[in-house]
Amino acid sequence: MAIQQIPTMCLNCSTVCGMIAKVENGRILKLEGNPRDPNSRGKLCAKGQAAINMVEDPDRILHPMKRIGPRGSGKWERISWDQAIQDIADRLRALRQEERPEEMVLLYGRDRTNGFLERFTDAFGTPNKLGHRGLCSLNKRMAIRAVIGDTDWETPDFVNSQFILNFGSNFYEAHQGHVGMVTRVAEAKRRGAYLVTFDVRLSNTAAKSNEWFPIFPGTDGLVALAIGHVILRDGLQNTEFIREWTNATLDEWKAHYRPYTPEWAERESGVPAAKIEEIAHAFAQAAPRATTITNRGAHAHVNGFHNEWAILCLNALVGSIGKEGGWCYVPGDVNRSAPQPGPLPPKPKVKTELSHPSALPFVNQIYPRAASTTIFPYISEGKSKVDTLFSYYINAPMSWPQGPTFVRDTLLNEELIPFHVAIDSFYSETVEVADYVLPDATFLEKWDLDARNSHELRPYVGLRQPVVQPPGECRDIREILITLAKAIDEEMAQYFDFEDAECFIEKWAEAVPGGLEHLRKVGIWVDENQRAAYVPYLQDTGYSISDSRIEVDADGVARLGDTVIGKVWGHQIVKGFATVDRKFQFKLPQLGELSSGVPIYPTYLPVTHHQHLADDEYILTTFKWNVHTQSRTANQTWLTEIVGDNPCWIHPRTAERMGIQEGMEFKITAQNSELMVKPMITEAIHPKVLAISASFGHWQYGRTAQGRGYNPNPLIQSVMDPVGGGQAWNDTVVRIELM
Amino acid sequence: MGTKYTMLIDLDHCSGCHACSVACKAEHQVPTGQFRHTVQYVEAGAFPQVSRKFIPTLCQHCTDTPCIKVCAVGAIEKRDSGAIVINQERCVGSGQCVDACPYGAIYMDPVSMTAAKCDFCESRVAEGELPACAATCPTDAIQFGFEDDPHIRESLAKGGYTRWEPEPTAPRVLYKGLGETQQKLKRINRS
Repeated sequence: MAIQQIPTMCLNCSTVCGMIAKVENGRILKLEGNPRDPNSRGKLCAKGQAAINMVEDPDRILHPMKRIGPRGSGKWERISWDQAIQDIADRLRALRQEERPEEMVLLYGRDRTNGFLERFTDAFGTPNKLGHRGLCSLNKRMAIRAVIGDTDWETPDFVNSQFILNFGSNFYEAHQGHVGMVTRVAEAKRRGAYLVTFDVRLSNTAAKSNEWFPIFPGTDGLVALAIGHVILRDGLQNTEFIREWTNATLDEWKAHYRPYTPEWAERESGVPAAKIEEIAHAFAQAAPRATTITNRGAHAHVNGFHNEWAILCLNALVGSIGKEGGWCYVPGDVNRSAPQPGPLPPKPKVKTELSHPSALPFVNQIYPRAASTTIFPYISEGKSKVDTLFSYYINAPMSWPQGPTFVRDTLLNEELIPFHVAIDSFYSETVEVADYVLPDATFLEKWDLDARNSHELRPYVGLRQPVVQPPGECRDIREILITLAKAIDEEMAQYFDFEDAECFIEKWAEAVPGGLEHLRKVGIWVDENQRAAYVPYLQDTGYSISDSRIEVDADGVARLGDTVIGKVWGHQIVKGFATVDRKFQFKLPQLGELSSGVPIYPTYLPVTHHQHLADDEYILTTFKWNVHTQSRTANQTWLTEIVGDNPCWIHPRTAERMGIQEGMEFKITAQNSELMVKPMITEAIHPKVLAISASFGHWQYGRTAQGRGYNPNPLIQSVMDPVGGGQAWNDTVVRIELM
Repeated sequence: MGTKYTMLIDLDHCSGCHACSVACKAEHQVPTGQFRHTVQYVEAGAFPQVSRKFIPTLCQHCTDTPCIKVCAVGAIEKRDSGAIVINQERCVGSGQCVDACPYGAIYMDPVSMTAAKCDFCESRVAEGELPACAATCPTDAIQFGFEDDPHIRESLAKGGYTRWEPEPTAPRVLYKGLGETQQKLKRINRS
């Protein structure tokens, strides 16, 4: 039989690169990049290519199972799909009949169904479709959404950039969108672009940078503010952008930045003041071909929102927002570009402490249902009653703060969580503590329409299609939810009137020119008619300034009736930013209204518990390798044979002082937890920082993954930024026990 | 004797992502724990002036070939293109070449019990494709072609390419930015 070449989309990480599967006799021979993908342009990383190992993992779950021993005992019986669906539907139906649908919680990790899970929870009537966003990137997304409104993720125009200022992103190894980023940064570097990285350890991104600054944890915002201080002090700012497009005057900007001297930043961050001066000048000089990029190094802190905001403001200061080579963005939600097939259920009106934690008013306003840190503590404290928990494509006991300890204990507690259904392809640490297990198809066996922000700055859509059939009784998540909805009741069934996942996708793909048939052949459709979305805020609205129905206020905001339509710019009404006054927000007065005494400008908020570290106290950071994701790749042989362990990075001076030697385990403690780890003694880390990667420390997940390395999460408390709601992964103060 | 193949690896752009090694693994169904291609990491310097270099390593397709010299059955062939290829039909699995290769580029396949290594993706190249490693490299750090191909000539003209030579074998794989790092490189497979 000839080798088939089937286009699909990767999901071994969330970058979702277009791929082509070479398949022979129902077996995948090789996975390669799809040249039509506008982001990855035919490249595919190690993880993507190793996904064959995932499909062929000999320890996959192949049929539905029901627990027969105590929860967590590992005692199961095989059941039929009919029985599984019936049992679960009976339980769920009762919740709806008793008018307590909000006691159903659907916890998901990587929802690339792009709306189907939400269709299910909406139809059911629960607001509790909860994800891992709060553990991942919430502070960053909150800052972008609060400040420009249009999107929650930047798409810097790297390929045309001359100066890239990287605060804590490791886009050469991980970062959503990394393949498209790396190809373009490499191209820019060949043309002389300069890359500066601030990171507590020498990531591979730091290693590929022209300069690496081992910054003290949580001080990224201060360094950004000091760079801004120099730009404003020396008059290097883009005054026109500040005046026209930000919600503050130049005097307000100057007054706010005045205290943030490079000398102060040097004392706190360790970045030399002279270097801050140099960077400020180089960044401003390169503008508008200058951009920042950020990720967890900058924002996974209790002050993460403000750090992100301060960094974002650098682009406004030099006027590089939306410009060629600058800090660009794709307006709108790229995953909602094709409308969902109807009818769609109404949004549930009820809110819970899980979906809208009252401790996070700003998050509820800007980015509801995205907090994650609160989920298990709140369930444990009884702040929100749970009857049924669905876990889909998530591994909380492995990857949550306090996952292997507190989270696992909460999941084991049948009073707190009476009924737990896990949908997974692998015997994960979540499956271990479930009551029913439904075998999921892997991403190479399922259907989706998917997309990411395009680095070409124009919309595209890709197809994920089965390149091989799911083994055993594994099923596509859409089919599981369609069957379940139909079994629950008539009212739910009306929103799931699809025969199977393919029928749904076929209907959905009608919105894409050529439809499903074309996508099945080529994999990706790019809207070639659209121009690249540079300066989207200057896009003409089509409204005329002389239209008598339009009212324009003193700030230039144009309204048609009650609806804000844009902002007057010259003689046009342009779109502006999707904020209340159509401007970039240098101040957020609502922060002050929600909570008094809270700064309304981007501010350096020192991490209190980092201020007076004892000699034996260090700050723990976690990170990802280029060949692994957080908790779903350790079973992939081709990756694990490259990196199959995660010793703790420790500076030689620290190791020497604490009596730690290569090859010998040592003890790290934090609050009530401790961890024995092997050291990796390296000059490539800040002497006050310890780094343990994610990806290892599985006690389940099959023979390849199990028993390798360490899980750092018992040491990490559930702590979040009170403004942005994101988990403060990289703030944990730990002690090393003297050997 | 026509023009010869060469592989140019630009370490200024290699980011150590291992995409090349996994592409090779899949393309040739290389057994677990053995490698035709692997990326080595070499750190140098003292905090905060630390560097890390990434060096993709594979059969160097030597001009002067210790493996051919040591093979008693003539199973290793030098193609007209300069590519060094193991003839699986003729290999008797003595393992002599495994030890003789200064790069550790050859391993014994546990199923066929014959020697195996990089063949510059002979079958892909015959179909007009690039070797698997070069095709997938996200930073285009790996270039492949004939010595007189314009893109190869252009890169070579920019200078800076040197060889990894623990012994003087005159490889057809050239590295840009290798320098002293070559002293730190290890064998690809343990002998």
